[in-house]
Amino acid sequence: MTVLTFQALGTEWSIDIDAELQVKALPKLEKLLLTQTTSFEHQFSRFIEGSEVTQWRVAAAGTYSVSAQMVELLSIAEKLRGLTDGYFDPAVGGLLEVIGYDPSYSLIPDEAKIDSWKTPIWTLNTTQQTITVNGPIIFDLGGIAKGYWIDQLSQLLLEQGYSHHLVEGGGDIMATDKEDGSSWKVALAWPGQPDQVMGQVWLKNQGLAASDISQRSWGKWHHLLNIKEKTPTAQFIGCATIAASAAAADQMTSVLALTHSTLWPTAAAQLSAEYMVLNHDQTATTSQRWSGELF
Amino acid sequence: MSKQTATLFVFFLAAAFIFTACQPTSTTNEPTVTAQPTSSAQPATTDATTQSVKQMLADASYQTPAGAEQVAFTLTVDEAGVITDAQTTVQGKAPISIMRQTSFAEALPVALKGKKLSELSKIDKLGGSSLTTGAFNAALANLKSQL
Repeated sequence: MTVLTFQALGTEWSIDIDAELQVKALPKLEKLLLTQTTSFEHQFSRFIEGSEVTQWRVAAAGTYSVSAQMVELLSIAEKLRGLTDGYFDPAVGGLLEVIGYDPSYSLIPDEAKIDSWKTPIWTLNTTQQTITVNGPIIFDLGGIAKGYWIDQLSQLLLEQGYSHHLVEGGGDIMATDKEDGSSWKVALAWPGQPDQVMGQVWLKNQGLAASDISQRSWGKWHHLLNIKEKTPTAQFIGCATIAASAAAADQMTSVLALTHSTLWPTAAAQLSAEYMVLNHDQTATTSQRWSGELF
Repeated sequence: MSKQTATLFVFFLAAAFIFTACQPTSTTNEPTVTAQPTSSAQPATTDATTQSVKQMLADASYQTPAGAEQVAFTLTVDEAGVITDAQTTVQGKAPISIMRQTSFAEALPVALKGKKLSELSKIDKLGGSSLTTGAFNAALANLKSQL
């Protein structure tokens, strides 16, 4: 087993490759993964000035060209916006900034700006590779970008000839199989309690994602918002999802965190995802075919 | 009514309501909920090691457009009156009732206690904890120091 670790996209990454790598191959692979991830971060992080997602911060209404990868990410966002009845919208970036979750991490909510904030309207034209906006907009790709990037790294490892691997970024995972064909055993951290676990799952050609309401909170606010009511959401303590890709699993956590439970089964079917939710009373609710073990 | 009986009653009233509410209905013929615990809830025998834990049985009947339906519950309730386990015995006759009762049985929440990470046999990875960024932690610490 070979393990590579690095920091990017504001979190820790670890790559487990179930093979003995030649010593001289390691630095080259490490550099490739890090360079690609950093470049992705510079293009799509809301926290980096000059990134593509922030370039319409003071834009006038109009139609603008976007990169091919931005089209890909916004296409995912558009589908998820539909699945969540509009409760997921990457246009939430501007609202996150006025509640203080801004590039300088001021964490000071500006009540007047919160009151006057209206969800910017954006439409995507995939054939023209353009977006049309009704004014300034800041995209926040939280809820889709990490899962998407985990899958990209998994793909990169496959292309490099490393078929048996597990890519983990900040607790979200995409895993193929082990060299002997078996699954990877993954424990599920109890939200907010680092040495406590709520269950374990076995992953084989599957992605895992999790959302944790207890993290990234200040005052009454945290990073998950009801964009329609302009309030923080706190339906449960945390959740974990499994799907065929990390991207689909990541999207399912957004569905769970942002929408009413009556929407969950339809979205889960669309994303071919299974889920477990840890409720405030420490009970767990799972989807029908959730295969993991709970403690 | 004991606390456990009250817990049971609320639980299965809710269940009967869910089944009924899920059925397609005509506006002129609202379904009626006739939820009656069988001769009040009866504690069943439990093993000697869990004296304070009670198992309770109840049958419920409710009206659907396809006629009257039955469903049975077995609840395990701890000394504090908290439901720690619930089993549903599907007794529906109409296909839609069987489907509703089955999906209700599967959707019942289960109580989690958790385990220490050290209690697990070898795992490959710890997942599911969306780590807070270093920058966020630093900002939060800074904010708290100003309060």
